[in-house]
Parts: sequence; structure tokens; C-alpha cells
Amino acid sequence: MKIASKLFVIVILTVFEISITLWAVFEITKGATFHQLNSLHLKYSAELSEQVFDIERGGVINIQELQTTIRNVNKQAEDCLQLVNFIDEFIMKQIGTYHALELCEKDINYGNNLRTDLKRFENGDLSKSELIVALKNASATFKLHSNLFEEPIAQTVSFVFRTMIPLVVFISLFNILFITLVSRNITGSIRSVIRLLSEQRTREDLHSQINMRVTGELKTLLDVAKERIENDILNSENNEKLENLIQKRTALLTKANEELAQFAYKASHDLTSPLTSSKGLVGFIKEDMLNGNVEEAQLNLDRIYVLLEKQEKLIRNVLTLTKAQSTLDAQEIIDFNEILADIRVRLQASLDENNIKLSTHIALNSSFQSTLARVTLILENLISNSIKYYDPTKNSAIVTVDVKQENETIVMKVVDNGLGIPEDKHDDVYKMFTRFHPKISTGTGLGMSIVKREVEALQGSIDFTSTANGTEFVVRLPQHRKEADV
Amino acid sequence: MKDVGILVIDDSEIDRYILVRQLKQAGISNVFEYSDGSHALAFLQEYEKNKQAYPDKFPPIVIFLDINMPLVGGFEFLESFEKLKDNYDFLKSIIVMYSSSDNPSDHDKAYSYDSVVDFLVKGQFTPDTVREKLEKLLAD
Repeated sequence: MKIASKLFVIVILTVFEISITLWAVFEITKGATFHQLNSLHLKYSAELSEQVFDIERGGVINIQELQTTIRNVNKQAEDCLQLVNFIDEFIMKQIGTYHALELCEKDINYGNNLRTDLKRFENGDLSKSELIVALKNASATFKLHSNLFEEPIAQTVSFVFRTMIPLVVFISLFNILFITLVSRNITGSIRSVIRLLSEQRTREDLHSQINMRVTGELKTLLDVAKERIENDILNSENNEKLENLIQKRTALLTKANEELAQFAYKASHDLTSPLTSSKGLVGFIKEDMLNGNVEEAQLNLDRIYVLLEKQEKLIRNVLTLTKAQSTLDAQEIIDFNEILADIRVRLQASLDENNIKLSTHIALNSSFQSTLARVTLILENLISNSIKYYDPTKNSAIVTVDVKQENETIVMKVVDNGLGIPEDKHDDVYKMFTRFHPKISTGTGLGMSIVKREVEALQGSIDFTSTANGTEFVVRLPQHRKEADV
Repeated sequence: MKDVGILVIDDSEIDRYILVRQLKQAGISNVFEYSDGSHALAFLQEYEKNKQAYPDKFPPIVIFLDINMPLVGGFEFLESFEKLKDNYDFLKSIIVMYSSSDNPSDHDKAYSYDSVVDFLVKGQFTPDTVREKLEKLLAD
């Protein structure tokens, strides 16, 4: 039952109780009025009998005076009947006091008859002695009726008294009892909700308990509060997420900025140094020509050529690095045999020059779709590094390329028995413009940065192990690329 | 000019050639060349042996030092060199940086080492500059 309905019942009961009380008071007051009217009635009856006594003693018959007295006597009976309503009539009939009202009616009739008699006397239709008899009878009847009227009225009042007071008391008690129960019921519900919410429960358990045990306005209150709180939490969670996202993005941007600054610094350094060196050499060539030192001039020209070649390569590599980020990927079936054959052709001169053996093994179960340019860049850079850093002190330099499939992964291994990467430089392998071997200055220091970037673009991973006995690079590429994360 | 011992540390063979030729023009022919910091440090540490082998040239009075080098770079060399100086008090060499970097932070970092007295930016000086600077340094 809703709290509002319970409170409504209390209001109805209270209104009923007050109404009954007021009605009872009103009825008792009415009883008192009846008594007053009756004593007036008795007084006027006495006046009438005095006037009759005078007339008997030979007094003058004052018609006017008699008429007034009779009207006065009648007045109380009429007032009585007017005060009575249908509830009073019903009660009086039930408890057998209704004859009091009949007495009133009879008095009115007597009064009317008496006044008719007075008129007849005036007209001479009635003798004086007959009038006196009628007056005496009426006066006696009035007195009698007054005496008879008293008792039923007292009875009725006492009945109202006896029945209404217990009723009012009963309703009041019931009302108090009901109010107590309802208030206990309401506070009990609130307490049980508080208890329910204070207990350690899982979210689902709490929801089912609330659905089972809470009803009415409290249930509505909980539902609304729940919705509101959930919204608030959702909002704050969203805010937190956004803030985290912003922080992450800012950190990424800051890092990218730093990398870019570093890149610009190193790139400009590495790009200008061949030029400054060439400038110096050009000055020497001029001197040599003037002094007729042609041989030295030629050597310096060769040096300039090497420098320019290196710079050209560097610029190409920088372009590759930046292009790799922006080119949209075209996918095609990768033919490793073809790629490796092409690479072999391009690197043949340096292989022959240093007498290095390049052997390749390809074992794929299924076709592999990827971006040809990226796969080629990865393999060519790794193989060219293996050649560049071969160890001339070892009997025979060997570079082995092994391509195979492990489930959904393409594994490319490039293994050499070269110089190896110094252990303290392992962390710097993928940094731009980094070279580890002073005697080999042909590198641009960008090769491994390019490899790393390409592997990441293909959502793969790259690892290496390196000792003085050689280096092994392992590149793993997923056979199927995931949709790019935004 | 007095023909003193000079050490050039630079990974670029061509840059070494350029500097050595400029030094020759300034009248200095006793130049040791190293392509990286670690070998140069090893050379300095073998004091007794080198003192005997090159009585007039060792230890070098001036060291020309590149910054950007594989393995042991210029700053790493300076770090080790300062420690080396503590152990070998006869090492009085002064260092002139020889780099293509004109980055102020590189200059500041170089000058924070006691031994560094000058900074030559590759391609931005003439043989005359080298001669003047050396004369001044040797006079001090």
C-alpha cells in the first residue's frame, strides 16, 4: 500500500471522528433547547390557566389577550418540530421516544381548536360557559403534555450520550492505533531500505533485492536516485576517460615533436657535413692544380665523389623514411623468391667484392598478401647491413635469409656471422643516424630506423640477438593485418 | 711554428685528411690520427711505450676532437679523458673541438670540460685560422 493511501485513510478516520463528535455535541445542545422550550410552554400554559381562572371569577373576557397567550403556547411546539430532522426522528422511533413529537403536534391542534372556539364565541356561536370549559380543558392538557414531554427528551439525549461517546472513543483509539502502525510501517520500510543499501552486496543482488522487497514511493525514489547517480558516474567516468585521452595524445604529440626536432638536427648535421668537407676539398684541389700536384687533386676529386654519393644515399633514405609514413598501402601477393633475387642483383657487387655468400630458404604453406615495397625495404636493409658489417677475420662470410610460416605469422630471419652489434649499443639499434663501427663509414645511420618503421607499418615485430660471432634479426609479420586503430 | 705532437680524433677519413693537410700548411707534421674515441684513449694510456716510440711528439699538446662518432663519441671521450688526466698528471693536453655542429648546446657542453679551449666548426675556418689559433694556444 502506498504511503499516500495510508495517510489518506488516517485523514478520513479523523474527519469521521470529528464529525461524529460535533454531531453528538449538537444533539445534546438540541436536547437542552427542548427543555428550555418546554419550560416556556409550561409558563404560557400557567398564564392561560390564570386568565381562565379570572374569567371564572367573573372577569372580563379579553379575546385579544387570550389569542396572544394561545399563540405563545403554540409557538414552542412549532419550534420543537422545526428543530427535529429526519435523523432525530429515526432515532426517536427506534428507541420509542417519538411520542414526544406527537405531543407537540397535539398541542398545536389544541391551540388551533381553541382559537377557532374564541372566534365562534365572538360571533356568538358559542356560550361563555362552553368557552370556559374548552379553555380549562386546553389549559389542563397543555400542562399535562408539558409534564409528559420532559421524559422522552431526556431519554433521547441520554441515548445519544451513551452511544456516541463510546463510538467516538472507539474511533479515536482505532485512529491512534492506525497512525502508530502506519508510521511504524513507513519508518520500517525506510530502515529496511537503508539496511539493504548498507550491506555489502553485488550490484545484481542489490537490484533483485530492491525489486523484491521495496515497493511504492520508496521504490520510485530508489529508481530515480539510481538513474541519477548512474548518470553522474557515467559523466564523471567519461570526463576522466577524455582527460586520460587528452593526456595520452599530448604525451604522444610531445614525443613526436621531440623526435622531429632530433631528426631535423641530426638530418641537417649529416646532410651538411659532406658538403662542408667537399668545400674544403675543393679548396685543396685548387691549390694542388696551381702547384701542379695532379695526383693529389685526383685523389681529392675521388673523395668528393664518395662524399656526394653518400649524401645522395642519405637523402634517398630520408625520403624513404618520410614516404613510408604517408603512402597508402597497396596489397599484393608477395613472392619472396622474386624479392630476394632482385635484392641479390642489387647487392651482387658488394657480395663479390668481399667474397660473401648469400643463401636463401623460403618455405610458405599459403600465399602472403602484403605491401611489396615495405617487405623489400625490410629485407634489403637487413641483408645490406649483414654485408656491410661482415667480419673479414672469419674464414668465410655467410648471410642466410630464412622465410617461413608459423601458423598465421610470416617469420623472416636474416642471420650473419659478421662483427655483431656492441652490447652496450643494443638499445640504440633503431635510433636514427646511429652507426656502430668506426671503420665502416658508408652507412647513413638510417637503415634500421627504416626497417623498424616498415615492420611497425605492417603490424609486425622485430627482435635480434647479436654477439661477436654474428647477428640474427627475426621479423614477424601477421599474415592478415588488423584494421588500423584510429 | 714549433713542430709539436697533435692528435686528431674523427671518424670521417676525409675530415681528418682536410685537417691534417691544413695543419701541415701551418707547419705541423707530427699528427696522430684516430677514427674513434676508444682507440685514442687506449693510445694515450700506453704512455711509457709511446713516450719511447715518439720522444718529441708524445704526449700530444693539442687534441682535435670530433663530437659525432660511433662507439665512443666526442663527449664520451671527454668524460674518460678528464678521469685519465686525474691519474696521469703529466697529461697536459688541451682539446679543440672539431665538429660540423654549430648547435649552441653542443658548444656549451664542450666548454663545460676543463680541457676544452676552443671549438672549430668544420668548413667555417681557413688554414690561416688554424695557424693563428695554434700559435696563440702554443704561446700560452
